[in-house]
Amino acid sequence: MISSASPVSRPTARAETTHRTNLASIISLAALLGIALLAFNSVTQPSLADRATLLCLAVSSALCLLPPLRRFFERRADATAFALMAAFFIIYTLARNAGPDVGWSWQSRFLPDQPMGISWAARLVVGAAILSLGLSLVTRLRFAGITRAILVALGIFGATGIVMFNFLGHYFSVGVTGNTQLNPELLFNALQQIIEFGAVAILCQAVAADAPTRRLAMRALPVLLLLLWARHQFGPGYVEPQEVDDEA
Amino acid sequence: MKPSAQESKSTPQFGRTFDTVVLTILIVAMCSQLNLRAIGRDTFVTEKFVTKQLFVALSDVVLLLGFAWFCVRTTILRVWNKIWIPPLPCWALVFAMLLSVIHSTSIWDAAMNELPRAQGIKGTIKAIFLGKESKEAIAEILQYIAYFLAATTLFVNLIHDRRESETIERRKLAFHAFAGAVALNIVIALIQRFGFGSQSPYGLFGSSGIYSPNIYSAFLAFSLPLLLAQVLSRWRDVMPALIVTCLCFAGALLTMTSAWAAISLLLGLFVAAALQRRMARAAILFGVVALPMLLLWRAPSPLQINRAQSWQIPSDQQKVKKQLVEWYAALGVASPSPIAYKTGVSRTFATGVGPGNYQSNIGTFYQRLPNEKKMPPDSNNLYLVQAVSLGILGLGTLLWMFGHFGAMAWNAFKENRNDYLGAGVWASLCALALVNIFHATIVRGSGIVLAFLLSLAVVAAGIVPKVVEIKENQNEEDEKRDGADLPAGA
Repeated sequence: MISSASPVSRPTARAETTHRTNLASIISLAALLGIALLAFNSVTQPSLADRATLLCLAVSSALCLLPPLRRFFERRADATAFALMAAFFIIYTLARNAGPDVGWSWQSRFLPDQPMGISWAARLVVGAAILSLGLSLVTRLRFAGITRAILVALGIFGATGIVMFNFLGHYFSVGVTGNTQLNPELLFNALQQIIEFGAVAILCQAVAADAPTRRLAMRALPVLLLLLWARHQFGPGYVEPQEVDDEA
Repeated sequence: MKPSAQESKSTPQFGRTFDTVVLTILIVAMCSQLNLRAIGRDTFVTEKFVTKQLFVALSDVVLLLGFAWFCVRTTILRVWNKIWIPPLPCWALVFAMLLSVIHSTSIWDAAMNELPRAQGIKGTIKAIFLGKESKEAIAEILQYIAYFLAATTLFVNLIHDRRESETIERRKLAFHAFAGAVALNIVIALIQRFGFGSQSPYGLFGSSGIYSPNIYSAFLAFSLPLLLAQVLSRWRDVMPALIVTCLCFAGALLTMTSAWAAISLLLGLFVAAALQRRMARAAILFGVVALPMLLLWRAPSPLQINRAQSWQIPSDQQKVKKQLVEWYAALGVASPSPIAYKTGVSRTFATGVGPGNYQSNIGTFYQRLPNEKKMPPDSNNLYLVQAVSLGILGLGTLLWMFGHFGAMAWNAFKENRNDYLGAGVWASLCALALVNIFHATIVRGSGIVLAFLLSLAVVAAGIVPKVVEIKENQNEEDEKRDGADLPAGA
């Protein structure tokens, strides 16, 4: 009886799955667009290296629109995921600088006086990644290829940090002041960024998993990167609030 | 004038023979760190400070010449469309390195500092490309291109040569040449062990006054599992090979300096045996060959001090040795740089400080942790070196590449369990994954060996081309049916 029912139920399940994959991809794409918008803010203060990287990425992603490469990227989800990660890791590095200065934060017993701030960008990517993962759990979104490798790399980095912090804690004094040796800030900064960049990787994979969204993302990427570069290269720079007061 | 029939026959024959010679010489030369010459002055001897000296290694020269020959012959035969080209992860790794250079604040800062002093176009080019940081980055990128693009292309296409009408298999030759090169290293190390006195054995991994016992140990740790996998699979059929491999195994454990490399080698043996379901044979090998050598591990010998150093936690000056302290200091790549400290943002976590710039930057990440001046050569953690120099994108891409070739070896093993190559490569990759925590192996001398191992994964997968072709066709049909919205996967 079950076997006779399965041919009928399969197309329905596939349609739902595709719908969910599509929804997860669109949410992820929207979140990536959100962090790109945050990166437009002048408070991100991109360095010369950042601007040069944005321009190089814009040129290389424009090259990806040449017909043979375009077909390759449209066919290969892992290639698109890698291209998106290369671009959005740089954009996210800028976006997490966009603030806010006060707001959500977390604290560790090792850093009692130093709450670790959670940026707008972090809230956006982690929230979207959780949502996207939730939608994707029932679908066929697989963490294969570059996404799995990035998550493993983040895991290795984080695990080494935690193990070594606990190990070295037996030999060196722990604290952030001058007379201590082992600074826990290193670990907590790393752990925070591991979560954030892991979320960005998941979002890129979710976008790449769906063929139409993948196509859209790859076509929009050079324009976005070029605009971002132009904004920081030619647009007004960041002015310290104190300087504004002085001028007033 | 048309060439005679004899001439037209002799030309491909010569080409084939020369291909075989090139492959054999390259495999033997790659298992060494012999330098032909050094470019740049050794300022440490004359002026007591160290500057970058570029060593021209024998293996690199042979690789360059071999690749040039391969390109010429392929062009003459007009068969570029028939050759195997490296997969996407290899190209992605090179792209990640280039991105890391462009996004490296330290490289830009160094170039910008030099620019005002530069005169003319020549001076500007020199300031941008020939500064210490840029030179290190360029050298590292070229090294990776040579290992993961050129060497893999050369090995795969020469071992499984499809350029002519009939496919030429040089798998046996490659394997025997590799076994011979490993054995040669062990024989030389044994001579060094019992003949020289105070120096730790290093086989062919040292010249120009720089010796690397750790890289020699790491090289054996990930090379021997492949040879062990062969004898485990056949045992009595390959009696001479069994004897030679057992002697090599014993010789390796007798001359290795690093305890971690020895553990990695034993892990490789275990994985090779477990995959091939030859645990009894592995137990015999372990009991008869490895155990006596391990019991001699702490016996008085010139290696005793170095062996103890690889195992113990403190050093002569500190309660925790620099090698371990550096594992925590490496997390500094995720910390705000002094420039961006005000904003609290690290610009290096994604793409690192730039390829080849690990050594010049890691010191600043120590903060208040004790930082000894010296640690034993080649005792860095590869994963952390990559995370610091190429960032999380570079480390991820490197793991993607290893995973890709590992999956090929695994699939080859699954498709044909009677063949030892898939299991052997997998065992070697497992040993490599462990030994890289203690000795970074993507360096001159072992980098090409690593490329050789990855190439063998492709060769192993090529044993069953029909099955692979059928599977690929099925996948294509599946993708078409699913509306081409599936992720491609690894």
